[in-house]
Amino acid sequence: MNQTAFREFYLKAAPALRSYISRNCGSYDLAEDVMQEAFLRFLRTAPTGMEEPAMKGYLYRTADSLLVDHWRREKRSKRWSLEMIFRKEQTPDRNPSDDMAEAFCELKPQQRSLLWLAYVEGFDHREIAEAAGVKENSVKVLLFRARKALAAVLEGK
Amino acid sequence: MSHNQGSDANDPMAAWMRQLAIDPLEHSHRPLPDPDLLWMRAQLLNRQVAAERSLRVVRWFETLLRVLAGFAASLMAVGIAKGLHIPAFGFLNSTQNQTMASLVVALVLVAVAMVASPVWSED
Repeated sequence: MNQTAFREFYLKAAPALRSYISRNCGSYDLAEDVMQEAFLRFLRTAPTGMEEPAMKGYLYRTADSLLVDHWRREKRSKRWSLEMIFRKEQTPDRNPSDDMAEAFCELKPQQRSLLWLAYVEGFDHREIAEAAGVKENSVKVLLFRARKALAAVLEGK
Repeated sequence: MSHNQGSDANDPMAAWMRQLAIDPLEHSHRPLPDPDLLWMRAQLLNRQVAAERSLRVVRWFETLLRVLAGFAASLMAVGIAKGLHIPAFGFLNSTQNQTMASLVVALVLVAVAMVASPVWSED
C-alpha cells in the first residue's frame, strides 16, 4: 500500500474506528491512542493485497486486542499501586448523559464488536466471521443473541 | 449464507447503531490525527527494526569478543599477580599472598569491565 492509498483508506476507516474504541473504553484520549497504535500496527504488520473489508477487520481485531492489553495492564497496576489506597475515584472523560454509549457498554465485548461490524460497517456474515475471529456458521446465532441482549438492555433503560 | 445487516433501512436497531456510530470526538472538535504522520512513524519504526535486526550479528560477535577479552585478561591477571607481593597481606605465606593478589587484580579488572560496558554499548 502506498501513502496516497493509505491516506484514502484512513480517512474512510478512522472515524468509525475511533468512535468504536471510544464507545468501548469510555475515554477519548485512550481512544485516540489506541486508534493510532492500531493503524501503526496495520501499516507495519498487515499482509499486503487485502480487500477493504479485510483491512477494516484487521484494524478492529487489533484495536480489540490493544484494549484488552490496556485493561489488563491497568488492572495489574491498580492491584499493586499504593496510589489506589489514597486517591479519590476518578471519573472517565466521557459524557455522562450518553445513555446510548452506556447501554452499548453493558453488552459483552464480542457482542459489541459483532453489532458494530454488522450495523455500522455493514459487513456480511463472512466478513464479520473473519474480523471477529468466529466461524461463519455461528455469526447468525451470535448476532441474534447480541441483538437480543441489546434489546433487553434498552428495555431496561 | 451472507446477509448485510447494515442495509436494513427500516430496522430500528440498525438506526440505533448508526446513531451510536457518530464519532463523539468529531463533535468535540478533535480532528483525526494526520495520516501522513502515521505513515512516516510506521516507516521510521520499520527502518529501526530493520537496523536492529542487521546489528544483531554484530552485537553477538561483540559479546563473544568481550568474553574472550575477559578470559585473556584474567589469565594476564594471574600472570601479573604471580610477580606481586602485597604487603598488607604480609601475614599470609607466599602462595596465599599470590592468590590474594590475583583475586584483587581480577576484581579490579571485573570492576573496570562493568563500568566500561555501558559506555561501549552506547555506540
